[in-house]
Amino acid sequence: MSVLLSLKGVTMRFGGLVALNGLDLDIQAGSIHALIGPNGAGKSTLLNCLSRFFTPQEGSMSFKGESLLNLQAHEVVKVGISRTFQNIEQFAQLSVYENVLVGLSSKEERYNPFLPGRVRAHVQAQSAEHAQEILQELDLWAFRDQPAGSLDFGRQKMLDFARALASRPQLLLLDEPAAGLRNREIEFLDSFLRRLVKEQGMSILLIEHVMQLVMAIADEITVLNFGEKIAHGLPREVQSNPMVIEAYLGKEVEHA
Amino acid sequence: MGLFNLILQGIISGVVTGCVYALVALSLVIVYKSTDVVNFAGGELVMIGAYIGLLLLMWLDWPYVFIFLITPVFTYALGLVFSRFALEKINRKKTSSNTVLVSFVIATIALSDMLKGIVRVIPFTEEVRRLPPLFSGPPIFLGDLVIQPQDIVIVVVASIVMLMLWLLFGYTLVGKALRATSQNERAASLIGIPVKSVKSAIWGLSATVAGIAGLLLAPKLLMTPDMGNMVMLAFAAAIIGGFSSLPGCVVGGILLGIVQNMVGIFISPQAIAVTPFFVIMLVLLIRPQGFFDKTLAYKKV
Amino acid sequence: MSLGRQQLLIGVILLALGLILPALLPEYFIYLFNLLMMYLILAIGLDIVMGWSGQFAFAHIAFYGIGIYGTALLHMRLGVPFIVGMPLAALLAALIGYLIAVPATKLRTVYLALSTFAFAQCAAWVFRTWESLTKGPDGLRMTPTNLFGFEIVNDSQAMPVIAVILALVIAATLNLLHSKLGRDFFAVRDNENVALASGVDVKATKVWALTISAFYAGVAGGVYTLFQSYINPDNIDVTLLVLILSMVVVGGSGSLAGVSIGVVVLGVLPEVLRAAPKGLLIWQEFVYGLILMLAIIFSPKGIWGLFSRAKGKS
Repeated sequence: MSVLLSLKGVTMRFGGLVALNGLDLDIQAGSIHALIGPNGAGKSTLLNCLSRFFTPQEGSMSFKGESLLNLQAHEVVKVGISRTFQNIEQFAQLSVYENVLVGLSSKEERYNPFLPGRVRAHVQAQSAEHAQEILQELDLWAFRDQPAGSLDFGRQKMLDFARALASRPQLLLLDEPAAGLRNREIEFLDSFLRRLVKEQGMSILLIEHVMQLVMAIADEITVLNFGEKIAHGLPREVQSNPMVIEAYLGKEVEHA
Repeated sequence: MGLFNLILQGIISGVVTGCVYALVALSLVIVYKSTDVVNFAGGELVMIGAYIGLLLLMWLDWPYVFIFLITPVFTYALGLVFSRFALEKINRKKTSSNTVLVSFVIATIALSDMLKGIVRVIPFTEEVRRLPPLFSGPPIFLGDLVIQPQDIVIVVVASIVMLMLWLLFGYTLVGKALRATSQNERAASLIGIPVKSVKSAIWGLSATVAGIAGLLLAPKLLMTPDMGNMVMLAFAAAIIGGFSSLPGCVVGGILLGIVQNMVGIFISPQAIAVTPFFVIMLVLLIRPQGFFDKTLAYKKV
Repeated sequence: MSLGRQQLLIGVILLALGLILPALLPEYFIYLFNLLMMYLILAIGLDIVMGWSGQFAFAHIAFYGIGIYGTALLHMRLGVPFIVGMPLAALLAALIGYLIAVPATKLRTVYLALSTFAFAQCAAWVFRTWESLTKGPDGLRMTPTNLFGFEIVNDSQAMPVIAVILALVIAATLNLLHSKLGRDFFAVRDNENVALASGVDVKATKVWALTISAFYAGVAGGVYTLFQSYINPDNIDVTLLVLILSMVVVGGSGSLAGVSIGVVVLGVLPEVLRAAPKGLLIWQEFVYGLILMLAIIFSPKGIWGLFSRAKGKS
């Protein structure tokens, strides 16, 4: 298996606060890599560095051999990295359908917005087809004309997914996708993510607190605490790692 | 010798008008800090203060001092009502925060038209008026310099208002509640601060300061319903202070007053009108956060 | 109805009105129509930058002024015919819009509003003081437009021309609305971070929004020269901006139908007040402020928004 994403020595500071400290991380192509750790461990910061919202002061991030540091935030999706957001983030006043269209538009051929034409018609027809596919797969087609903000929570999360998937990424960054979902929805997520990897060869970096999902689908787990990697390996290994347990639960109290 | 005196006179007069700009800038920044609203009706609140003063003077015929004390009460009420009935209603809609902010600003634009419109309709405002000077008396001569006693009154009153604001925000419980609401509305409401009332009070306070500025300004300017256009000078002053620092407003206002007069002396009287706009564009180009702002801005995703 | 058909239908209706109405209605109503059509072009332009993209940019009237003076002066000083002069003036407006957009779109909402407002006031000041060019506060008397040898000297003659220009503007706007760029405008307004993560160049999109809206304002300025004979810098001021803003808000931001409604309602209102018992016109400013205030509190999506809500979502 080849390494798709490679982080070396990534350090991110905000003023005096060190959010990430010399982080090394490799993601294998076609795998699901989970990133866990207590709140404030730096998981979301890492995702934001990968999305190029932040620029780490030190370290390297390379994707498919090319450095991510050369990219601006809006160029990330073009090289094949897509992400979802922890709190519901979407285009609330646009329809569900339009949300997905924005997601896939970065891969479209460009056309003059003011004039009609054959390129335009072709591109729009293709995008319409593609958007319909995705919405139907995620059970959102019935809501396609509704404003995104009017959907219930679970569906809004699915929409975030749909938007991220629309650009056919090679690496999908998921920020706590299972948060707030009911068991049935988590099961759907489980099988859906597995299918993405199996059928489309997608790689996934997953930040998650819902351990049931993490243990079920992760091929590898990296554990962060205070911006540093404290453990890494197969789910079984990480689960029984005392440092990990301590990070989450605190030190064991000495018996009297 | 003549030029030097001219400059000195310009500086003195600039400090006087600058104090008034500073007051209006303070009124703008006070509401911006607590409610994130850019008050495009700021100038009209000044104008209304002046006209209320004028009306009270004509109808009640009380000593000027009383008028001075009553007028701000009216403008306080105006600010309170606007906040309660317009802004709070808009806030209730719970649309995205950006849309709400835009709606707030549009509401202030609407308010400014309503205030101007009401004043225009009142019969005797067709004539351009002037409030009598705050303090009549012979001018004071310092060498070749002339200082009008009412200018001294303006500076003194403005300074008193600034001092009171400083004491209010820094040293009283009410002031602490106001600051808490400004910094973190959610946390403030969680510890029991009645956020809605506080915000309305802040608007009332801002309108009070603006009203007082109107009373100070009116004797110097000709009063028209359009005198609110001076708000641009206040915006320029506030921007110099980074729209967040109260002392910054004071420095910005006085600086602007002086710069205006210098422009009049060294460039041309015609250029005075465009000075605040140049200052605004210049500051925003060079140092958008102003010269008094110390906060770092990191976007939370 | 497909987009192309909509555009054709609108074009045919407008052209028909432009040719038929002058024969049926008194000159004053034709003037009113011309004015409303020009306001519509201005309002759509403002909606693109404020309503669609959420950029609170107040420089619109400066570009309108450039459109007016540009078209008029190119014609009067250099003999450039309207058919070339207006697009040139509009392009000039767009260029200047681009130049201020690049630094301005970096600013927070507050500052964007203030800086663009300051720019508009500076532009007004330039129009007033550059007397050798614009004749300053005395105003510029414009020579009638010459279109392919035909002189346009009154409103009736101007109307079909304006109608055609409006039809083209609406067609282009509909295309923009249903394009990636148009959608990106809305995306940037709703959520910049998600837009970035979805591949939208937010900065460039904002610059486009301002530049395009400046072009619209420039076109509106060109249209002005078709049916007005005199321009005074005092006509290009904040009052006009607030009027156009009100039309957009009250009618319904984000939709052509909404903006059109707003233009008609608020454009006709002063005429109604004028015709009413004496003394009512002076209430105009207050009434407008009140309408805007009520709209923004109770129906921020405007009249069209109420209508859409009443229709219900499927």
